[in-house]
Amino acid sequence: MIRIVKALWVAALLATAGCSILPFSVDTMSLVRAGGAQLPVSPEEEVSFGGAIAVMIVQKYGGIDPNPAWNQYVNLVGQSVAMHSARPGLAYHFAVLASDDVNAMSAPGGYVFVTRGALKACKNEAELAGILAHEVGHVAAGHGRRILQNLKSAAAASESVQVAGASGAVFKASLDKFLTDYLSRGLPHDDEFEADRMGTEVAARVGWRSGGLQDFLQRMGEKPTKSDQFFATHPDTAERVKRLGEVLAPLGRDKGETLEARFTAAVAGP
Amino acid sequence: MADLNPNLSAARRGLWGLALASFLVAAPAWADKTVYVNTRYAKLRDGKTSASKELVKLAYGEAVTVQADEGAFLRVSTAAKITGYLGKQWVADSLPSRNQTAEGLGEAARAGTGGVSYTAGARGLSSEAEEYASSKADAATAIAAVKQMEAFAISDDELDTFLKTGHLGEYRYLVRACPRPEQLVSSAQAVNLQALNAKVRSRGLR
Repeated sequence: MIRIVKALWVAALLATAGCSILPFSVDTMSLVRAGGAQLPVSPEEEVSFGGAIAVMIVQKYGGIDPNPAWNQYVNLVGQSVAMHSARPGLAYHFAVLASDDVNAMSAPGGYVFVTRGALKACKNEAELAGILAHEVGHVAAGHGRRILQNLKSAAAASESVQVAGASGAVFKASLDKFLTDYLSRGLPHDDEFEADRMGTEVAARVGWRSGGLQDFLQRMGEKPTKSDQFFATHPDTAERVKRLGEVLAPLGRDKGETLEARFTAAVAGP
Repeated sequence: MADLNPNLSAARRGLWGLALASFLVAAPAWADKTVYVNTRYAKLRDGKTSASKELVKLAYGEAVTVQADEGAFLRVSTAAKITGYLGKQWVADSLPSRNQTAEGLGEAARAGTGGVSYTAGARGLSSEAEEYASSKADAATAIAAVKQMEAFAISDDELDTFLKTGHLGEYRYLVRACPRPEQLVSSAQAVNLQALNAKVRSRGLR
């Protein structure tokens, strides 16, 4: 009974706030109250959440590297990956973070980052493509979106958020929790393994050396440095390399282009 | 004319029947089917190679009608009645879902073609996202950086050139310039080949 009253209260609040600009409808809010159903995250919301997360990533990693040649090159490799991905219709954006940590990350809605440290640690274009394809895999598979959906549903059900009022509070509470739980610790390991598989398959489909991502991970695993966020936000490297071996068996690890000369010219510069 | 070998004739009839049955089963899979471009863009060409002349560039989500299944390619026609070849990997059976498309992100649908435009350009941080980020300390620089990141766009031509020079995507199987025979072997191998040819000639094998 209390739940139903709460649902009516929230519904009234949302209705007065103007539903056309709200990211979710009164009906779905009521549904959550009454039956505990999941609130959907619309494409517009996904991009909105992703934009805010992207800002926080950029801030955490010291901004975006100003090198225009790197930006151009990473976007070319990234867009080549994205157009062959499982979700090619989304507008993806790629950037190099001004950090010497070795890491890469993505935000829902198509924001993909690679650190300067990771870019320099690559030996060829196939490795960079493998890294970017892994991140695009997270976006295409909707890993962040699924988590946000759970967080949004939980936030909408929380009494404190209801008291704070309507959609802005749900948006803020969901993002706060996402950033606290996932920005430093990374996504669930199963999501990482799935992104490894999807990324490797996409890179191979485009025509880069299939084993690009595995090559990179193997090398990183041999020389881990404690300061690298990479190891904090991703599963055990040896396990990833092993699982990628199974993905690569039917693809042929050595098939495809490494494009080392093009990579060196773009990253080392004139 | 009577069959000289009734058993052979029966076998032939069986094979023809099998072929006809497989045709009847296989043909409807593609014929007259409407499929949709499932990549950022796809080039309709006048032949079955990535070096064939480009007839028109098809947008993401654009519908085409299949005329024939030709191995790795489909012969298709567009809404504007342009007929050409398209790699099978660039089409999907169904229109991309709203979650996957620019339309789903609030962009206008491409008029007249039934396709959906691709958004590679700027769309800007939402007001909610910007408000949230602004509430955090010292986020102004990061907000500006993400806006700049969103505004940066790679044109289709730039992307196409990048793929072509790397032999990637549809250019993956493009036949490369064939080296002359003398480029195929090292000088040492060439000497050995000359010696082998001389030996062959001396034995009257050529």
